Amino acid sequence: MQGSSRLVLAHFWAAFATFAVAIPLGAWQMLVRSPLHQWIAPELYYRAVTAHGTTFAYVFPTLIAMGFGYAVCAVSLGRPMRGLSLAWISFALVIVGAAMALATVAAGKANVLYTFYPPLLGSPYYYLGILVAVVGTWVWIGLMVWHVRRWKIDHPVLPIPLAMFATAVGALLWGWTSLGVGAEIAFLILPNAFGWTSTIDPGLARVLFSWTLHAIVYFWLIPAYIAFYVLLPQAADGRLYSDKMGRIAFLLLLIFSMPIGLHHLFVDPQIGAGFKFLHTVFTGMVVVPTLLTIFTICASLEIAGRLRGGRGPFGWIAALPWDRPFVLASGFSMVMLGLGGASGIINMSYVLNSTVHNTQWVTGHFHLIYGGAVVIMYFAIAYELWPRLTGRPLAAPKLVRLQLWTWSVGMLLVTLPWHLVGVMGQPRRMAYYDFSNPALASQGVWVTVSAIGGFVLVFSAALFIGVLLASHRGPTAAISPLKFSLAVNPPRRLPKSLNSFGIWAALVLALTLANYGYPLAQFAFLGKSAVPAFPVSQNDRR
Amino acid sequence: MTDVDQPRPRDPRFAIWIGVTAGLFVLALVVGFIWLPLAQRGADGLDLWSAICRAVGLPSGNARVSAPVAGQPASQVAWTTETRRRLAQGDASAGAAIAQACNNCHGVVGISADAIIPNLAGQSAAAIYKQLDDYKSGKRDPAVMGVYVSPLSDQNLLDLAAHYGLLPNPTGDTLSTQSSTSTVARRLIDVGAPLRGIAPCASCHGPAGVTPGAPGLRGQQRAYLELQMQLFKDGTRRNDISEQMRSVARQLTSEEIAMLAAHYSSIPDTGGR
Ligand code: HEC
Ligand code: HEC
Ligand SMILES: [Cu+2]
Repeated sequence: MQGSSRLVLAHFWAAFATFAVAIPLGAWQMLVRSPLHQWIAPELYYRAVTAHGTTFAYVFPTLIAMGFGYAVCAVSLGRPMRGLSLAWISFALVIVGAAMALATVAAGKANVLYTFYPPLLGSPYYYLGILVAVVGTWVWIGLMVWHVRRWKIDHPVLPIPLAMFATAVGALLWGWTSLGVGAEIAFLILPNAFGWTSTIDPGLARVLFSWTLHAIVYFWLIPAYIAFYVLLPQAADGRLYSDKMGRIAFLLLLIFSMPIGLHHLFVDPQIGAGFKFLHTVFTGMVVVPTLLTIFTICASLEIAGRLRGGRGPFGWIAALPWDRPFVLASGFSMVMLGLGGASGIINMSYVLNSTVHNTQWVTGHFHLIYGGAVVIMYFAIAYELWPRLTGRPLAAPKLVRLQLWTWSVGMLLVTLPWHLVGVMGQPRRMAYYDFSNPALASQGVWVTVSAIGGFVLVFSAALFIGVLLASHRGPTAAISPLKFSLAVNPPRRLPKSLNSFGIWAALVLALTLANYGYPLAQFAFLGKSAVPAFPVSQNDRR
Repeated sequence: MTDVDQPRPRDPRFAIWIGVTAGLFVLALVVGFIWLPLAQRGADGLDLWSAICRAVGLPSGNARVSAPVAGQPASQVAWTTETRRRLAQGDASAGAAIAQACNNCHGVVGISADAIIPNLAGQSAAAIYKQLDDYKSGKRDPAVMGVYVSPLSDQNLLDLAAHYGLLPNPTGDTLSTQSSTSTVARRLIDVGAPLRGIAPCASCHGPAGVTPGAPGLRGQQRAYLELQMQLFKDGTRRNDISEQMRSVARQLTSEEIAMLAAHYSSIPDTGGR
């Protein structure tokens, strides 16, 4: 991979190592609050949730996006990456930051959950660790953007390869959106954790966090979408239906996933209803790139299916090579994306939101989208890259299929019951539920089902790690280099709007400022809403 | 520079997309900040400017109808930093001297001999002070206690609170003889009854958390506890700030109250307040 194999491999292994720890934690959390287990000390529960959330929000997907970004950069631009030492520095920052944050959590000094929830206050090392990791990713953003620019200067009239174009969109998106959480930590939480300020404004902290909270999900999602566009069609022996549609979808994601974060604060009394409406409207717009993607990918798959001899309105589906991991994973991913998308539309509508807000429904929604639809594509990407990185074919294709099956089944077992009990009113973030209470008893069976699903996921995760490990030991073989799907009509020239970022980046900037400007600025002049912090899980309570 | 492969320098898509986005923004502004706030319920007669202020979230724009504050506060005591500072200035030995007048009823060591008279030993000083002040101001029915507190100064009350707060807690032999293992009571204490809006007693009365001024209940006299909960329930006692205790008691059945009183009176106060 143009000399960046070690770099990519390091990112993926680091990611999967954290994954291997955080998945069993998740299953354990589900077990201890199910009817299958006695109540445990809430402190332990929140410690585990913080570790699980921190890993899966800040560490695991970030490392995957970075590693995949490097792979795409090397392969799609067709020349070795420059600045490898910077890339390693960035990697080291992420690892050091993550280790610092997670060690603090493991020590029980920061049971604040990954969303921080000021005025809850944990040890400063937890926040500092996350900040260091985030700063590490900024180096990656710089590298990605710099490579695209350099390539464009050398190839002024050629279209930027779609995979790289999308990677750059992901990098820009992350750069802009990570500023929210970065500012929250740097300007609100850390000064308080170090004792320089005596109060903290939870409202302002929430708004800053929401700045990050929606688009971060799209940052996690983009590698999966890239895989849909540039790897799936070819894995199914087909072609990408439209390259331009892909670019439009990624640009729309860039523009509309930022100025919408207030949909996480629909019940927040400090935000005016008008802004909630404004953000709802723009949230509606992010459905568009997802629909475009589903359309384009289905069309691409149809092309593949028909090329393979499928007939009739549905025959092409059966004709697809479902035994190939990439195709199988994508199929599962689409199903979960569809279900999760539907529950997402419920979340984003102001009125329905108040019914599901803070219930287990929400947890079900984001596990389905992210843990299901996105993470299964991370697996598929790893399976696709591994032979290219190790020079050995993937071990045990049957086990690979079993792994993908168990992951999807497990994730559906986990999340569908959560949606259900959420509608029944079960609150989220609870260390225990009293299922002996007749009013809650009927939820017990569903919570049990989802706890069992959690262990199916643990099994699947173990299988995944096992297959990757085994694939390092197989016999070396000649492996065809990684190639990206051809479009039906590969673009030879593109209009500026589909081949550059500058103006779009400016539009994102303008739109975010328009949508967030007042909700942020109001804290400067409206009544003081800062309160003393509430230190949790520290022996030295201030 | 007439390279045919050169992309056209001006791409109309920019203008179109930015125009559409801006149009959407303006439309959302008009709907969200003018139309909806004017159309929603309770907006009759709202002028445009107030409607916009309301949608923006400006409190002044919202306060079209000023909500009258009805009635009197539940108590003259407020848990300000000033109150806490004064509490720390109570002198326990001065309090012990004044307490001579109280010993007949509340017991020499703060453990009363009569189940209807509360124990005071080891009670939180904040709770004692607040109750004494409430008797003095008439916020809590002063029928019995009024005559004893009315001649006392604020400093006297602080001293008394400090004195009783320092006396040792009720121990095993002073406790009610019927020990209770009521699971109903324990559940209410640790979990509450979420569906009836009852927060766990332990979250306000300890040990899980302590609301300012919430008295300790462990080892308290059984009949006293039961009566007080009943008084909160029927609204006769109304000196709890923000109806914290009334809103709990209203939801409790008389059986539950009896079980809670039996339970609390049977467990020793292990301190920790
Ligand atoms: C004649 C008996 C009697 C005397 C003397 C007396 N009390 Fe009381 N006290 C009661 C009774 C009965 C109650 C509970 C019922 C009520 O509120 O009237 C009570 C309630 C209290 C309470 C409220 C306890 C709680 O948990 O809410 C405090 C505090 C208190 N007394 C302190 C004192 C102090 C201090 C003195 C001396 C200055 C004193 N009492 C003298 C009978 C007495
Ligand atoms: C939201 C907090 C809160 C909860 C929950 C709560 N209480 Fe209270 N309770 C208070 C406060 C505050 C007071 C003191 C009121 C005052 O200032 O006079 C009080 C007073 C009382 C008293 C009178 C004690 C005395 O010495 O006069 C009793 C008895 C009592 N609570 C029992 C209970 C029981 C039993 C439960 C659980 C079913 C419960 N409380 C739940 C806040 C709470
Ligand atoms: Cu969101």
